[in-house]
Amino acid sequence: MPRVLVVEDNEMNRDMLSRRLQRKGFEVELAVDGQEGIDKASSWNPDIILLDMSLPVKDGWTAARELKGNVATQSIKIIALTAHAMESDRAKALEAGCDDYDTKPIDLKRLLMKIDILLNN
Amino acid sequence: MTDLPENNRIENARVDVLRQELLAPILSIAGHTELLKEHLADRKDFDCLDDLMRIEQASYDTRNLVNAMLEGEMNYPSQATRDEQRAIFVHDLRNAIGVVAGYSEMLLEDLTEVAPNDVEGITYLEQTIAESNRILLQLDQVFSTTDSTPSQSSKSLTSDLSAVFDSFERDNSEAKESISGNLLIVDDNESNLNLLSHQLRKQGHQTRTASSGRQALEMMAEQSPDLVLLDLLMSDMNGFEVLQVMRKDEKLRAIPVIVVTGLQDKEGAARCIEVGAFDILIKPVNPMLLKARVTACLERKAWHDKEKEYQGELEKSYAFIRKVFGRYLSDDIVKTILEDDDGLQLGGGKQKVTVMMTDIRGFTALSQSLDPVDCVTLLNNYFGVMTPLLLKHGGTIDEFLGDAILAIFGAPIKREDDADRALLCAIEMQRAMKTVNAKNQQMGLPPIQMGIGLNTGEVVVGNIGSIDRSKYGIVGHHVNLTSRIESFTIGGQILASEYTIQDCGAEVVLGETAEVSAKGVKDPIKIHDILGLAEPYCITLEETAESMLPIDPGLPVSLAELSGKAIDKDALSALITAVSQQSLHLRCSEPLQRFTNLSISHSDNTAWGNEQIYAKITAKGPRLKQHYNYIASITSCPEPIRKHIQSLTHTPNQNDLRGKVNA
Repeated sequence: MPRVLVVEDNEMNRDMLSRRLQRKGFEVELAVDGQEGIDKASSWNPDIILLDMSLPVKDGWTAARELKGNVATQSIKIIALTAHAMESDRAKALEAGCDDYDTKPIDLKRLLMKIDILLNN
Repeated sequence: MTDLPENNRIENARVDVLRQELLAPILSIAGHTELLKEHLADRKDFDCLDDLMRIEQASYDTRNLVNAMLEGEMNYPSQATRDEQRAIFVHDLRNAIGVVAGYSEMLLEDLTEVAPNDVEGITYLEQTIAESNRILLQLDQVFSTTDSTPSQSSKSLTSDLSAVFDSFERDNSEAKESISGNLLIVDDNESNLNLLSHQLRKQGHQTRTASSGRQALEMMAEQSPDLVLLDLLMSDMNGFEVLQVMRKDEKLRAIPVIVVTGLQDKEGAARCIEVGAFDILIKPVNPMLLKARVTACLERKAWHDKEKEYQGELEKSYAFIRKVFGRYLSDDIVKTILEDDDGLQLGGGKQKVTVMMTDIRGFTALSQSLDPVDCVTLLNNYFGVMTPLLLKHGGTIDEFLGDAILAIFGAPIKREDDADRALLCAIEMQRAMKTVNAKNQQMGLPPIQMGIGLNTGEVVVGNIGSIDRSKYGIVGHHVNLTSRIESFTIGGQILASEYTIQDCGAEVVLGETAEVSAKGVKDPIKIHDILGLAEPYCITLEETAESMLPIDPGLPVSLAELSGKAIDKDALSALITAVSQQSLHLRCSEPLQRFTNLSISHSDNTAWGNEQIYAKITAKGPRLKQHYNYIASITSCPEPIRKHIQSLTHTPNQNDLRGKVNA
């Protein structure tokens, strides 16, 4: 049962995404800002993190950099999520160490495909 | 040169039009959500209220975002650039729409599992998802990172979104703008030409020069300058002649001209002004005077151009509003919308309105027996009489559906007396059926009868539909309820819900009351048979004067006042002097209050077998000598009594009095 950490500050998005993933059989844990995301990644040890980029306290890019810079968490796959559908966002996310990138609103099929690819490679 | 009140009004009108275009698909989602909520809330096997509320919340968020952006009330970070502001707006909008789509997809999965046969619910969900995805796609096209040109289908939304942002940009740039112009200097003396050109460039203008009158005309035709400085004395064609040519030319006529002359020739100067020169400058030209005159002239032209531009935009806005509303609203409402700054929230939303539905009873059967051409003629006769009445009372005709009319009172403009006008209009419409049928009869068509249902409540009002096809309309449970109420009517009847009666300022003369239950509503709803309206309208459903049949010398009866349910003991003698299908004329020696409820018995107790007529005083007739005359509306009358009274009237061929309606 893959473990997914959803880091998202928007309540409705968080609720929606976590429920839809649970329906698909994932074990889901939630975090509401970048710092909580880092903490939960260390303590809960997920297989993959869905990381929103515009987050309070610590934004997604900073969080990704810290996670990938820490030996304990660097192997956890990260998919960056952002609603800014700009090419530069994608580059910025990959540069910060994210393994993949997707735009919001979520196209669930596409997201599941990306998760599948990352977890099976 | 900013802050003309007129500018604000035009800008407001423009933003209204844009808001309307942007909100149309968003309102369509809100409409679908409303339908979904109504539909799914009834299912006991499917608990989804929380998610429906989330969808509803997100669709409101979407609408508020667009509104805030258009009003310039978005809370952007203070240092955000225009591009960043755009990105934030699109981010928030995509997010809210994404929530609508996401939850709808979840509900669709669940519903398909729980109730695969619920085609209606599944369709609403699919439409909500499709509409959301369509908006997302369009946003992508408008704000995509690659500069691909938007496709034809999304052109309107694209250009509008860009226009909204551009309009703010334009305002900023205008504030910094100082007056400078594109000037043409005409003189056959080269050193004069150079001097003027040099001075004007130093003052920030762009200049072109012409060394003859003919050359000047050619250059003006090629590219129209903001201002021409024209020497009066030139060899080939003098300034006066150039002016004359310009004034005869459609294109050159509007270009302002300042005449520059070395002659202190008052007569020549006056002639130039007569043929349309704006001003005169005397050589050698004083730089201060030159600056002042040129600036004044350019400012005037800028005003003129601006005026023309705003005029154009205003006309575009007016044309749009007329197009959208002209067919459904009376001229004076359209005028109010156009003239009043705050008269209209084009975006729409939840609003309390009185809904009217009418249809022709038994029309389906009738239409099958009629020639199609006759059928259309019959309907046109009917709609032709009803439409002016609806418009006269400030109703908005939402739709003609076959033989039915759906009209609303209270949108787009809300008034205090919406329910009053709806009731008054319904009564006049019923009375006008006489005109409709007279016309039909003249053309050899069968008579028709109409039923009207009225109801008042909150509905979603706005431009509903997709981008390609949207119309001003309403959705919501109160619309369905109105349709249900209407279905209870018989020909000639008006039924209104208790909500409409409660909202009516004037006293309503009510007939019988019934309770009906409607889908999605727990408690049954009271509906009332409408007989008339009291002050200040004083109108009854029945056209009393014409259809009254006299009873001579009068039928002696005794009247008792009904207060509450109890009948007062003191009976009063009276005469019934005339009768119609629903009214009586009463004559008695004592004054009675209007709207008194009466029980009317035959003065010979046994004649009506101890039964009574119940009626309500609706109007006072003329007072003759010591007699008071009243018109009373019959609220109930046993059939044998009707027959008896009818036998006393004096028109032998009259049909049986029509039975009262039992809703």
